[in-house]
Order: sequence, then C-alpha cells, then structure tokens
Amino acid sequence: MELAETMLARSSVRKYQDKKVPLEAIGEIMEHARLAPSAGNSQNWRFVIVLNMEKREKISEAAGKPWMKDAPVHIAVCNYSKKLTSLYAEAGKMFSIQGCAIIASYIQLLAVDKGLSTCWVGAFDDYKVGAIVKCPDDVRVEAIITLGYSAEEEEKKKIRNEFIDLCFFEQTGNILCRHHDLIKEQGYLYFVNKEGNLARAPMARGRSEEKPEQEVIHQCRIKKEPGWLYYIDREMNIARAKMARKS
Amino acid sequence: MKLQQCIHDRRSVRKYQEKEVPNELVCEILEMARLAPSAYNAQNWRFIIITDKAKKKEISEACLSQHWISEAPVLIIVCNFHKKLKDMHKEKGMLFSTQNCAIISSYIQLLAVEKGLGTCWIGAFNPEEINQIIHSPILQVPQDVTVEAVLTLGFPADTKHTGHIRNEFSYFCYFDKWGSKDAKLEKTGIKEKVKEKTGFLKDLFSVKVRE
Repeated sequence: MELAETMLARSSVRKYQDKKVPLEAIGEIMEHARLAPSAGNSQNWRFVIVLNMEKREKISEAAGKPWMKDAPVHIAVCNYSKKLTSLYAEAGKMFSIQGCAIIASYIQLLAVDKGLSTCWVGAFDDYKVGAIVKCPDDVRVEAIITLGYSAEEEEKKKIRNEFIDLCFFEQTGNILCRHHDLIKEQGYLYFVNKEGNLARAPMARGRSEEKPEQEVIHQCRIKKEPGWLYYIDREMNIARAKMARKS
Repeated sequence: MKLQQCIHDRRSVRKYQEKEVPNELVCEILEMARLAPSAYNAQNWRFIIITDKAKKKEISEACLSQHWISEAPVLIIVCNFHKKLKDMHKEKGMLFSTQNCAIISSYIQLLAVEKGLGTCWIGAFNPEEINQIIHSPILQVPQDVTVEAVLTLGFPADTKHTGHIRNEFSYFCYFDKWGSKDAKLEKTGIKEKVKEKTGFLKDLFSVKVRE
C-alpha cells in the first residue's frame, strides 16, 4: 500500500471480528517495524504479544475498557529505558518514550497494510498491566495496541486542525485571493502550484515515476515570493505565511 | 511509494545539497502528517519552520554545537503544547504529549522519504537555550510550549544507504508474558526468513552473523 493511503486509512478501531490474526502477519509487521529509528540506536522497545484469552480479559479490566477483550491480539509496548536513562538522565527518559512511540506508530501503519486495524490504548493501570504480562520492575508498559480485523461499518472522518494553525510563522494570514464558493473535498490536496494558480491533486499518490495529475481549479496567477509558504486555508482562500526569519 | 519501502529507505541524513526545498513539499508533508493520531485527539503538536541562515545557526548552537544542522535547508522544530493534556491527566498526560509529538514526527520522516527528502531527528539540545530561541518576540510562541525535537530537512547529498543495524524480531518480542520464547515464534515464519537473510550475508561477505 502507498504510504499516504495507509495514513488516510488508519483509524482507531474498537470493534473487532471474531477472527484470528495469522502469526505470519504479526511477524511481517514486526519485521518491518524494527527498522524504526531510536536515540543512539538504543532500540529500547520490547513487546509482549498477548494472544491468551484470559490475559486479554485481565488487561481490558485493568484498562477499564470492555471492548478490548474482543480484540484477538494485544501488543504491550514496553519501554526498556535503563540504558538510555543511565546515559542521558532526564533527556534519556524522553528519548525512550519517543523511541517506543515511533515504533508503535510504525506498527499501526503496517497493520493497515495487512488489512488489520488497531487502537492505541494509553489510559490503563501501568502496574496492573505490568503484572499481567510479567515485565520486570524497571520496565514500563507505555501503550497497548489492540490488533484484529475491524467489525466497524462506518468509516470515521478524521477531525484535525488545519496544518497552518499548527505552525508558528513570523507572519500569517495574508489572504491573497478569496474563493468562497469552493468546498474542500476529502482525499485531495489543495495547493498553490508553480504558476500561482489554485490546484488540487489526489492525495493517495506518492512520488512515483509519474507525477500525480494536477487539476487547476482557479487561475489567479499569484506571483510567488521566496521565504513565504503559500497555502489554502479552510475558507479556500489563498494565503501565505512568512517562514521564521531573524529580523 | 510503498509504506515498507519508505520505512526501509528512511535514514538519518546529516549532509544535504544546497538546493532549496520547495514550498509545496513542506506543505504536502505537513498536510498529510496532521492526520496522525493523538491521545484524546489532543493534537498537541506545533511546528516552527525555519529557513533563515542566522536562525539556523543559533539553533545549531543550542543543539550542543552540532554545526552541520545549520547547513540543512529547512529545520522543523517540533513543539509540545502540553498544557491541556498535563492539566487533565497529570503524569500520564506528560507521557501522552511526548508520544503524540513522536508519532507525528515519525510521520513527517516517512513522508519526507516519499518526496525524496532526507531528515534527521535531533534530540540532543540544551532545553533552556532552545526554548529561549522559540520564545523570542519574533516568533511569539507561548511560554508553556516546549521543544520536543528538531527535524532537519533537505535533499540528501549522497544516496548511499548504510543499512539498518537492528536486533532481530525474536530478540524483542515475547508471547503472552515477558521473557517467553515459545513455539509461537516459529510459526511467525520469521526465523526461516532470518536464516535465509543471514545465510545470504554469510555467502556475500563471509561474515559471522549472530542469530
């Protein structure tokens, strides 16, 4: 599956089919996930893959989430942080959390590629779950990823902030061109193309040999200046933001 | 590009071409990355995109004087806007906020690979110095936002992939309880694959590979 496709398709699934996950699929997911980066290549992650029904029931109890026990696989993401914290103290703690989060996010994406669904569970009693999977005292279970075939019917829409609201710029909100009558369609990326026109392209295409087909929606021929980031805001205006520069 | 290919091709790039990174690519990467999941959909990530030479130099100083950082065409400072999560979930909230930022950063890294760009995740910095830079009056980043990571971005100067050195699957995966290596591992089919791979390596370089 294409990278962007997996990102679009990933969603938190809390209802699973009563169908076993083949061990080969788990093996293949892990085989790729282990290429994830970590601080100083410490690979401070360990996983306890829980297939046992009783244990899964206990875990779902410790998390207070009854739906969890129906997921055929629980992957307990364990943070084996000893080495990192002894090397980098407080920063090492942060590195160790980041390392586990990176590989867990890889696992989620790779599962999508295998036709599987996941949910990242973070709210649970650490000590209880640690005792269930019998991990040592200096190891912390930081997340549980449920894995299985989805039984959810509806596709959930992702509610996210616009990327421009997430970025700090020296200057933002310079609207250059208004398009009130247009609506952003899902699955398309809207952008200002080289010629300064408002265009869109289907999202789920990577950098393959052929460029994704561009569709010009509005010809406005804005002259692009260097140092500015040109984007389409949520009201479909063409706007620009100045990238951080020292005055 | 296929997901697995992106994961395989991602590496830490510390040498970049001088070529500028087009606006569109930065936009496309961030547009896609924002779909990343986060605890309670908090989306507590914020980014500062930096292209200015002087500013980059300042940041590389704060990153324990790793001077190569200032040579990267773009720096993305990943900021953690942790207030809400921390207020709601105390210590766990802190964990969630760090995890969330790590997830989206890993998405950014993968998306960059797809665009032919290289990244490097920098975690080694002086927190006080770097926070001082982002809280400067020019950027007006709120005081309770802290820097989680710095990502360098640019076209790699060399295309050589040195390969990943990682532990084998069986080294870090247990079934049902910590420390257990049981028959289930055999069924994953990984062991044979490892043997195939290591056998191939043995023939090629006549090296000893630890299983």
